[in-house]
Amino acid sequence: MVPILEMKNIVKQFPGVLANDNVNLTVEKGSIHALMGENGAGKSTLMNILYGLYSPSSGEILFNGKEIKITSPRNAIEQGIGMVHQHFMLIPALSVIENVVLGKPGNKTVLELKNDAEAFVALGARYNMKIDPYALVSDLSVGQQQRVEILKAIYRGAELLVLDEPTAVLTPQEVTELFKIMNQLKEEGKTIIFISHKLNEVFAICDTITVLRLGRSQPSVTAASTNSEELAEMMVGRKCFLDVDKGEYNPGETVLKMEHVFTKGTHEALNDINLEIKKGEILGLAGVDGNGQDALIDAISGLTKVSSGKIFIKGNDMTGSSPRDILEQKVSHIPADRHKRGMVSTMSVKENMILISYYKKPFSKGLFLNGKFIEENATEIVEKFKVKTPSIEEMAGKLSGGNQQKLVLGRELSREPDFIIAAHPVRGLDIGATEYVHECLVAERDRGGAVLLVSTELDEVLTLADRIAVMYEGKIMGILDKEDYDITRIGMMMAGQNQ
Amino acid sequence: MKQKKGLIIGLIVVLVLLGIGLFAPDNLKNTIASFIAQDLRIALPLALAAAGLVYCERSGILNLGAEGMMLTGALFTWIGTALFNGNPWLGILVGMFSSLLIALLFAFLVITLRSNQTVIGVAINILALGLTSTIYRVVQSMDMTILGFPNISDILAKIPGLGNILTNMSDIGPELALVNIPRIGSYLNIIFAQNIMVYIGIIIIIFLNFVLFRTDLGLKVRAVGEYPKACDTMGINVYKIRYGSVLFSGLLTGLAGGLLVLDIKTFVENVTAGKGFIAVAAVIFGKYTPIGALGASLVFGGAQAVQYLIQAIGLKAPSDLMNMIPYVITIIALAGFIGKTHVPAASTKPYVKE
Repeated sequence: MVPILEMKNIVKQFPGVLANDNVNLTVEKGSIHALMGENGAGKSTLMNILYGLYSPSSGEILFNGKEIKITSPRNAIEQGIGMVHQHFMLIPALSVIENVVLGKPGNKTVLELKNDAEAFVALGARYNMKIDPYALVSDLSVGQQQRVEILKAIYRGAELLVLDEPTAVLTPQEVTELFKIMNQLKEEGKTIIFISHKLNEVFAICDTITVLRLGRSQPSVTAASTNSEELAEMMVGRKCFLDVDKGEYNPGETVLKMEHVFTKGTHEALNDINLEIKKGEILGLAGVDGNGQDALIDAISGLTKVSSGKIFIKGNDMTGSSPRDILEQKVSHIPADRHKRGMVSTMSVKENMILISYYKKPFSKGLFLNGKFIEENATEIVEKFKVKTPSIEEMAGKLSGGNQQKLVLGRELSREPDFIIAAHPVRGLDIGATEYVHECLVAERDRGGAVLLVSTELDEVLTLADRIAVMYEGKIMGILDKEDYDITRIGMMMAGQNQ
Repeated sequence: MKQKKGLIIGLIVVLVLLGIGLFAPDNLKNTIASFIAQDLRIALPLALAAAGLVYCERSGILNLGAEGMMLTGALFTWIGTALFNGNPWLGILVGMFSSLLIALLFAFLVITLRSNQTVIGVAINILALGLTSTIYRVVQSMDMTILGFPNISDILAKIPGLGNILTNMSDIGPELALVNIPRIGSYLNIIFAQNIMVYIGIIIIIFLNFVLFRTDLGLKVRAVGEYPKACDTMGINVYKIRYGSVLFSGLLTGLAGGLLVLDIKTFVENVTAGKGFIAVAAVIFGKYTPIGALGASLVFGGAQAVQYLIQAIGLKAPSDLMNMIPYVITIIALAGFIGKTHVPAASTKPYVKE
C-alpha cells in the first residue's frame, strides 16, 4: 500500500538555525501517527512546511504517492491536508458556521450559510457531535471549540489531519472524548498526525511513532514495539530518569501552617483548610483543575484575604499580611501562569530577575538601581539555571516556554527560600525541561526547604511528593502518607468521595 | 434578535411620524416635517462616511484620520466641480480620488509600516487641515460656480411617460406627486423632497450592510479585524483585506466631504468641523454596522437639526450653545453605549505575518 504522506529529506534553514535537517516522515493511510520531540526539535517547523506556512529549503513531499508542492495553507487544504492548531484558529465573535466557511475555496459571493449549516450538522452527527451551527464560538467550551476545528478540517475535505498538542487544553474527560473521535476518524480511513510529548497518551492512541531531535528524525517505531523509557531517551538523546532520585525523607519543623482557613467566593472558595508543611518535604496538592488550588495559593501568598482562619509561616502569624511581607519571610512563588504572574514579557531577562528584590540592597542604592550588581546577578542565575538566552538584555517574552520557566525558577530559587509554592511548574514543558525543574524542586527539599507542589498531573505528584493532599471543591479531602499512596483512592478523592 | 429589535424601533418611529402627519395641526406638522428633512440632509453624509468607516474598523483599523480625509474630499470636490463647469458628479469623483490618496498614505503607514494608528490618524488630520487651507488660499480667487445634486422631483419629472404621474408641476418647478395625498401630502412632500444623493446614499448603506453580513467578502472583513492570524492560516490575505477596507473608507469619507460642500455650495477652511470624528463616533454608537451607523447619524443629525426646530418655534437661545448640541450628544452617546458594544478584537493592533 502506498503511504498517504512521505516527506523526504526535508531541510529548513532559518537565518542562523537549521530547524529541519534531512527529516524523513512516512505516514500510512488510516493510521494515527505520533510526532514527538522536545520543544524546538523541529516538529512545528515540519508541520508548518506540510501546511504550507513555510516552504522547505530542500526535500520533497509525496501525497498519495504523487509529488506535490504546498504553497500556502489554502493550497494545503485544497490538497486534503487539515490542521488543528494548538491555539485554535477560530474567531470567537463569529458563529460556528461562519468560522467553518471563512476562507473556504468555492464560496459563492453571497454566502449560503443555511446550506453549509445543514451539511455541517449532518457531518457532526456522523461523529456523534451535536453542535449548534449558529452559536457564537465564544459561547463554546474549549472541548467544543476543538471539535469544531476538527470538523471544520474534515468539512473542507481533509484526508490527513494534523493535531498539534490537542490534549494540552483538555480535561481528562475531554481527552477521552477526543480519543474516541480520533479512533472513529481512523476507522473511516482518515489519517491523523498527533503531535504530543505526553508518553502515556501516545501509547494510548497511536500506531506508529516518529521522534524528532535537534531537527533530525529518528527511525519510526511502532507503539507496540517500544516503551516509555526508550521513547524518552530518543527524544532527549540520553537516558532519562522518569523517576527522581530523592534523599531520605526527614521532615523538620513546620514552615506553613493553616488553621481553619475560609475564603469568600463561589465553588472555588476555600472551605475549612487545615494544612501543615514541614522543612525538607514536598507536599503534593492533587485535584482536578478549578477545585480551589488557585484560591489556596492566593490565600497563602497574600493575594486574597481570608475571611476567617489563621495562616502561620515559620511560626509567625501572617494572616492578612501583604504579599511583600509574606515574600520577605523567604517564601518563593512559582506561579501557574508565568506570563500573567511570573514575569513581565516585555522586559529584559535581567530586569525580570529583580522583580522581587529590586528595592533592597544590594540591588538598589538609595534611589538608584545598582546596574552592575543587577547584571552580575542575572548572569549568575542564567548560568546556574541553564536559561538559554542570547543575552541578559533579551526580552523575556522572546525566550521559549522552557527557558521562561527556568528564568522564573532561577529568580525564585536563588533567593534560597524556606518555603516554595510551585504551581503546575512543568505545564507546557518538554521532557528535558520537566526533568530539570523536578530536579531543582527535589534539591530544594533536600536542602531543607518546604515545597507545596500543586499539580493536576497525578504522575508528577506521585513521583515527587512525600505526602499528598487531595483537593475537591475548596476542601482538603484527605492527606496521604507515602506508604498509603493508592491511585484508585486518590482518584475517588479527586471526584469528591472519601470513605 | 438584535437586528429585530432595531427593526421594531424603526417601525415605531415611522408610525409615530406618520401619526403626527395625520393628526397634528398644520403648523406643527410643517415644523416637524422640515426638522426631519433637515435631519436626513445632515445625517446622510455622516452616515455614508460612517458606513465606510464600519468596514475599516471591522477590519481592525481605527481610522481617526477620517476627519482629514473628509476635509480633503470636500476641498477637491469643490475644485473638481468648478473645473468641470459645475458638474457635481464629476466633481465628487475628483474629491473621492483625493481622499483615496490620503487613505493610501494612511494605510501604508499603519498597515505596512505598522505605525500607531491613533498617532497617524491625528497626524493625517493635521496634514489635511494644513494642506486644504493652503490650497484653498491659492485657488480662492478662481471663479467657482457649483451646482448641487438635482432634487429627486427634478429627476422623476424627466422620466419619459411616468414623470407626469410621479410629479406635479407647480410654480417653483416639479414637486413630488405625494402632495396629492390628502391630509399628509404636503407633510410627506417636505420630508421626501431631498436631493438625489440622499436616496442613493440610503441604498448604498443598505447594500453595504448586506455585503458585510451576507457575503464572503464581508465575512473576511469581519474576521480579519477579530483574529488576523487565524485568517492567515485559512488562506486569507490579511494585508489585502485591510488595505481594501481602509481605501474604501477613504472613498466614502471623501464622498461625505464632497456632499457637505455640494450642499452648502462653497468651501470654507475646516468646513468639516469635526464631522469626521462624529462619523467615527457613529460607527461605535451604531454597533459597527452600516445601518446602525445610519441610525446613529440620524441621532447626531437630529441634534443639529434641533437648532432649526428651536428657531422655528421662536425660542431665543444663544447660537453658540445650540452649535454645541451635536457634540454633546456625541459624548453622551459614546459614554452611555460604548460599554455594550463589541469592539473588533484586533482593533488598532498591527498584524505581523510570521
